[in-house]
Amino acid sequence: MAVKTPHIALTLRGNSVKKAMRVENRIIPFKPHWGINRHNSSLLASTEEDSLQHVVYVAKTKNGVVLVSCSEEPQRELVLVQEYETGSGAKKWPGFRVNFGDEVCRLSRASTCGGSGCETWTLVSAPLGWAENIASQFQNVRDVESQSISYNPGVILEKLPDPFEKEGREIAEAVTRLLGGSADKAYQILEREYNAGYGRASRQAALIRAIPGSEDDPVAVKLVHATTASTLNNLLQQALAYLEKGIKSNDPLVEDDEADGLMAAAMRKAGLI
Amino acid sequence: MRLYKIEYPGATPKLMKLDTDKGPIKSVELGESGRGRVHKIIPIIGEGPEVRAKRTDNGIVLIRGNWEDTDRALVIINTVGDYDRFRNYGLFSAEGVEEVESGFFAFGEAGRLPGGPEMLAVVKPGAVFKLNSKYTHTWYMFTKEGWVLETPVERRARLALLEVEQGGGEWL
Repeated sequence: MAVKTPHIALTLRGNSVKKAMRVENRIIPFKPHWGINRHNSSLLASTEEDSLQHVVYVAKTKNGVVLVSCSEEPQRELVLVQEYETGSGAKKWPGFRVNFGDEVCRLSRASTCGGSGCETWTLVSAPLGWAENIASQFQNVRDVESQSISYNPGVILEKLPDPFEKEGREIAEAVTRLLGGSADKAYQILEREYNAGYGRASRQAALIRAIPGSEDDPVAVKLVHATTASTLNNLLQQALAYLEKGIKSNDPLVEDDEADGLMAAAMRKAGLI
Repeated sequence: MRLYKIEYPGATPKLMKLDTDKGPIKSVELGESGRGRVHKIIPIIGEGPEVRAKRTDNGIVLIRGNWEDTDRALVIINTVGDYDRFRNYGLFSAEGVEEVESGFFAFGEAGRLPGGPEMLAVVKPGAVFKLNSKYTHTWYMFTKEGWVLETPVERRARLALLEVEQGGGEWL
């Protein structure tokens, strides 16, 4: 009688571990987010049914891996490891690689063959806690280098500082000093747009939409653009540039008869000059 | 026998209409004419919903009639489709397929670039073969219910499941 080891089925991608595995037409499909897979004919695994329970038995055959649902206490993990390098539009986000050690048994593998970015999906049988350990070590923070992670049960890593945090706080405070509103809310808007991978133009647009009345006010729009387009150190230069262009109007930001222009008035009001 | 046509590798076999708006079709053609090519014309005679191939001293003839005494089918298989560099054209891993006649498609003015056959074949239930297309290949299976097409991944998945159902494989 063959001994069957119950495995809990998990999907590992970067710092995310899902207690599930996608099944389509009784196949674990290879559907990468990055790259293209037109040459790929690798079978990751097939299943007996169109859906998969959390716990499965695993069989290796000459044609591929077969997963059979069961309802026993898991003794190992069956992990679909989705390694990736980000492609066009997300190059500042780190790639995710795993160094497979002797503790895992690699069962099947599928890779992309071109396009922007690349992915390699590997199905492995690993000890319990392996996927969570890998995921906890991955720092999915923008502007951090790609990481190749090994299983290390004793490791406790400190969270890397987020390079956006300081700059985002400064921008949010400057914008709210100039136009009013809540600095925390402005920061939340900027952070959300930043984490979603959107660019500067999108962050500016979101901020303008969030500040009441600023959408219809060309001066407010210019102020937000000036504040978010450059760091606060450059804001003074921006103000001088506006002065040279002679941008003047009857904006409510100008409290007195300002001879030196709107931007300078706004900056004076904000306490920046 | 029913007459099917596979127009290019990866295409679903279609039942050929023997009667059109312009009247019954008089012949089927295999391959193309020109240097390095082979062009064959197979006449169709008689009346009826099905056809049967007959070999004569002067070539193959398709005879129409009520041939319902067999599970087999006739199929015209174009193994070429579009030109692809480095692709092998042909019928691969064929079982249960009996070639009756074939023409030949080629590429290039002199027909010296890779080419492949277009063939008329008899298939019996359980017949299986593989055709290469640009980035993958397609498995064709002829059954009593009709044609089944599989991608390489689908085929491997089915065979792996079959192996486990029959008690094979190694459990982890």
